[in-house]
Amino acid sequence: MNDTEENRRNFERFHSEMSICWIRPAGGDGDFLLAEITNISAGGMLFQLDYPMESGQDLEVRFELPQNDELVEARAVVRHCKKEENEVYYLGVQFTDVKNYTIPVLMAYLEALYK
Amino acid sequence: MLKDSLKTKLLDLYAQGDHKKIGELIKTSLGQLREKTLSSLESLLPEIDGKFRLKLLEILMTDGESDLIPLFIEAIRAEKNMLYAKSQILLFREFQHQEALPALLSLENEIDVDLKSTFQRTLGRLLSRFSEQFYMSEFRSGYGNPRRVKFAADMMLRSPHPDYIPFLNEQILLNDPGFRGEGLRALRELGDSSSIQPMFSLLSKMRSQRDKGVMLGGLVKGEYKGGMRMFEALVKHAGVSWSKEQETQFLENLERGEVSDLLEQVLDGYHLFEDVRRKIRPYLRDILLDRDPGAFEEARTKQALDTYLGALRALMHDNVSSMGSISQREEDDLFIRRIEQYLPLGDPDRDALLISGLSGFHSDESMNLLVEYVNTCEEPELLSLSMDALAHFPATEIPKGVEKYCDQENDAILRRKAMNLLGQWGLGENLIAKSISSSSIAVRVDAIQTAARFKLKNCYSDIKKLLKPNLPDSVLHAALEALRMFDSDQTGRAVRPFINPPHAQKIRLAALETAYKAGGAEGIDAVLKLFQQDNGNKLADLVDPLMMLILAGNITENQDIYLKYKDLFLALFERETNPATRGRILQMFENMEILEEYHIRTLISGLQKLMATFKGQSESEEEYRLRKLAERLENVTKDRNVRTQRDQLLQTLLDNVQKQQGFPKVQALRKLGQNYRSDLVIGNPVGLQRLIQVVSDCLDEGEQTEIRLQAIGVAGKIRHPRLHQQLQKLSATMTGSALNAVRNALNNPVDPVFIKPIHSIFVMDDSRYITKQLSKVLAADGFKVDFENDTAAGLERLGDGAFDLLVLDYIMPDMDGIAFLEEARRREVAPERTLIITSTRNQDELRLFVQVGIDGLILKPFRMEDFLQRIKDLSSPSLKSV
Repeated sequence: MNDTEENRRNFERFHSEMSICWIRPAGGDGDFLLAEITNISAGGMLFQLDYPMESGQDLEVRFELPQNDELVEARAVVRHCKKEENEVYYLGVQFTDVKNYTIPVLMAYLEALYK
Repeated sequence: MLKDSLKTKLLDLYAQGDHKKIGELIKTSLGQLREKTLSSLESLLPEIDGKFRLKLLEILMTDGESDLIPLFIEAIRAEKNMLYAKSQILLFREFQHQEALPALLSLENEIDVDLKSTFQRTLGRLLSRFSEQFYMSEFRSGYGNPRRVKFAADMMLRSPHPDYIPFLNEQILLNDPGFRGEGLRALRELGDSSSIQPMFSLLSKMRSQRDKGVMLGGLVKGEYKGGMRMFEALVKHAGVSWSKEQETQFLENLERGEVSDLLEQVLDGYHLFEDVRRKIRPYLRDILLDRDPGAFEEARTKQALDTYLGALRALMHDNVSSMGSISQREEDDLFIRRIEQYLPLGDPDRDALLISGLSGFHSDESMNLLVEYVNTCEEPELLSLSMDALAHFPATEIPKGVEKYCDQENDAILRRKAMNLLGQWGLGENLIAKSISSSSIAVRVDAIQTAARFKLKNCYSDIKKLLKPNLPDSVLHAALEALRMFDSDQTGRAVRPFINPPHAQKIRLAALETAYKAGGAEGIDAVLKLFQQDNGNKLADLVDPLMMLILAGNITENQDIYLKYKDLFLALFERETNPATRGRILQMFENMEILEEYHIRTLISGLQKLMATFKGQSESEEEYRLRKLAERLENVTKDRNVRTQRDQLLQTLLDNVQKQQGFPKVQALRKLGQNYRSDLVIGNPVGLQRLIQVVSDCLDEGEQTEIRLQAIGVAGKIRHPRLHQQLQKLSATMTGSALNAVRNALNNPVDPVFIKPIHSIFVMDDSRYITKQLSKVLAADGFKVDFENDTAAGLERLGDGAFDLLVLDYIMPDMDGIAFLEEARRREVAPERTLIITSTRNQDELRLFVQVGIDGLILKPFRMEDFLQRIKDLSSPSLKSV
């Protein structure tokens, strides 16, 4: 079992609305896509979604945090995008800006939530 | 001292609003005098208001140690304010200690109903975080409680984790049959090479336990005169070694009659399971004290030891067979050699255990060895074990030993196992067929049953040929039952003659069931025809079994056939003396959905004739049911007439509005308003959609003022949520008398008939992640959910089930949400209500959604909680606007 599958399995167990987030290319008015959070590492996240993205693409990201009434707004950049079977794309992104949080604080929060 | 000063300081800082200092103070205090700080907080928490309490708990959670858990639990338990309690529960999920899980579970039965969903979510989170520890602790706590251990093992098998392997490797070595049995079952699937050594150790332990158990059994069964001799024998076999002084001491104790401690020490050497030890203790104590234990204690002791030895053997089998499975998974080709070398030649269970090992280790070599056992072994027990083991292997040819036992008259167990193997392998149909015509009745019955169980097609005609009146009843019965398993249109004709007397009732019942079940609709028809022709002469005793067969099947599916014979059923009802059978006939009619006018009329007349026979008596339950059935049928006709009239009226009214222009249109609208009642559209979704569309068009800006004013009045009378939404939008642009008309119309609340609770939801979105997530959230909240990512398949799926709500994405690659909705409406498969989800903020597009007629719009991105709330709002009378 490789790392990605292992992480995916961990996330299957965790059944919360928090394991997803909304993303779309920044600066446009395109459709928001729902992505599943697969892994969290320093400064970035690995998403799963069913549409490809270009490396270097800026993204608008929105996700839920417990006890926040509003979605948290963030900006991120696509670092890599890998196609797996069944039109599943794995998207590695790095946060560039988060509204009302600093990136390290947000990452610590997310890691505590998901790991 | 600290208690009071900390409390006072915290209260002062709270009054000053200095949350930062509160955090620092608690942190310092916990660092220096943790226990006292906790005790101080424990007394402070119930005395302060909910907001401050929550604040303190949030600060404590930054520490997050496990000794805070009781404090949190107490706070949640005592919290009166539901909102604060909810936040506290959400906060609780951040504990990273497994103790949090049982602590939260302790609240399960006292949690307020409003907090249930938050509680469940937190519990789910903790369960997923600590599931491994939780199941291992459940397993461990199940000592002496096999059901609990089994549950834990099942859970481990359902979601395997590497931590389970070392844990189970240890647990199987503990002296408890539950731990061993369940541990081995789980290790068979989960174990790896690290499990083999502990399993060998376990096998050694159990072999030693078995040997000692056998000797103990021998002692109990032998005649020991005198406690001293028994004591010596017990000590010898226990294998315990004592010093000379200890032994002298024991002997003195024995002479004084103080045997309890002594006995416990000796029994320790036997490593019995706890319950066995408890059961045999009284007997041994009596023997050591030279007392007569009595026949009951003796029998109980013997039985306990026999059961113990049986359990040990079964566990040894599981042990070796699981080792085989693990070794195969780990590709350890030397397993068979190792187990052969390990088991001494003199071990009484050597062969049986080798066979167990082979049964788990699936290789050609194992198969060959097992075949050798079957072909050469004479011992029934080993043969039986080998055949069981062979069932785990595929075979291309029949081993001689299996063939030999196929028609073996004298050994029913081996014969059945051999036949089973043939059936399972799909080999030797000719052997089974040959056994079907064996001279032994027992062999024939087994062969017929095997042919049926494995549906051996070539045996069908052999079994059918058997159906002769002079066949022994047991064979005839087996044959009649067996034919039921085959799909053939010849079965009905072959078995029907046996429904009639003079055959034994058991034969007739089997023939009836096979004739009824084997021939599809034609078979049922033919059986009913038999009853019709019989006219109550010979088949009266089979009416009840017939009705039971009918009721056990799908009545609606075969309704047409039953209705064809409705006069027969009514006649059977009249003739039948058993009230239970009459009840079943009525139940059949009650369970039908009869719509055909002809059947309704004739059945009502039949029922009326039956009711006439009750005249003059007070109404019985049976008569009441007959009357209700007749009334229900009459209402179908009445409702149908009324429905048709209403549909026609609505259609005429709407046609008039649509085809007219100018003043005649105003008049047509007025007439629509005058005639409108909600029952015109109840049960007529197509009519309702058209009505809303027509009125909505008349409200449109492009229409003449007179028409719009009239339409506002009509919309106010209809009180449909969608028209209400449109009126609300109009109110922003209208002035003067038109605005007053809109306000008047909006004064009437939405008609409750249009607010139906939502139970089932269809989610249509091209993104798998959206459909998956929304379905998960909706299902967790109790909705029945279905979804589709492909629009064509989505339209099909909508036609398959009745949904209360469609959740629809707007931007999709093949067809946008509006086109999808219009197509679903054209096909008349659209749910009554629709919510569109979209990222668009384009005003023209948003207006388009309103025009097409939807019940709500949710803008992406959204919080899942908000999404759920929107759906719940649609079910509630205080309907929110789009």
